[in-house]
Amino acid sequence: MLPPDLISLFVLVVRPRCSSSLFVAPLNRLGVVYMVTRSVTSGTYSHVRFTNDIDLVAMLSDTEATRLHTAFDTPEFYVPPLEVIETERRRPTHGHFNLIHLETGLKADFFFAGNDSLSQRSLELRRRVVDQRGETVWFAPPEYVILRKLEYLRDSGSAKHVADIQAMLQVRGDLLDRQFLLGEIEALGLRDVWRQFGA
Amino acid sequence: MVDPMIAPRQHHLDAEKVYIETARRLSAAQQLATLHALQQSAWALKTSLLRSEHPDLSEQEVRKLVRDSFLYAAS
Repeated sequence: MLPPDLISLFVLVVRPRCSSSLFVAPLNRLGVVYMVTRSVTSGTYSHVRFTNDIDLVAMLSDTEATRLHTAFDTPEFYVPPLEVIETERRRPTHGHFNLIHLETGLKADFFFAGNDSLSQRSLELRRRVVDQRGETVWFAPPEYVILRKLEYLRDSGSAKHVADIQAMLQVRGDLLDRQFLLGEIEALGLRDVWRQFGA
Repeated sequence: MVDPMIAPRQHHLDAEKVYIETARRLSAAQQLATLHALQQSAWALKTSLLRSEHPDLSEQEVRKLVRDSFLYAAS
């Protein structure tokens, strides 16, 4: 373990950027409707988790896609060509591309809501959180994070998702919108995988 | 790095290559600084969420809850 003074020195010399605002600040400036989901949100909603990626779900018009590409098309970031973003945006489901911050190695997984009704509804229910620079970070509602993790659990069986869901249920408890959660569990055919949580 | 539910496309492979090259290039100091930034960010987001959901809590109570949640922090 390095002494705190040495860490402070490193931090002063390297001057790290706030990890969340790196990717969301340009989106906020462009007025893009987005929400952060997966590890960053499940960690904030339950037990903290450090992750070097941020997962975003967004709806973009064709004009916004061009503006987004321009915003990230700088020496600071890796962004795929605009044609890739356009192609992914037009997919009805699973539209996705990556952004990488070249100074820190942090990356964003950028998903398009497409015609997925759960993503569209959750974007309407997104929650505003603020980072250490006062930058707004829009979070997916916790129910969305749980529902997506249930899908991943059903498809992969990974124990990591079991632990994450259990932690969110334990910490969130009565704060969850049970009607929303249970309704979508039925709609998405997740009743069997949900049963193991006995919630 | 790609969602397991998505079949990898060429641009995913291109991004993966850039990601690996970037990670290899980072010095220990840069990695440490990034880790520090991630920790700061997680702390701030947790604090903000608790404040908005529990406006009745004092700053001291919020700080304690955030500290407690960091005890279970994982990567």
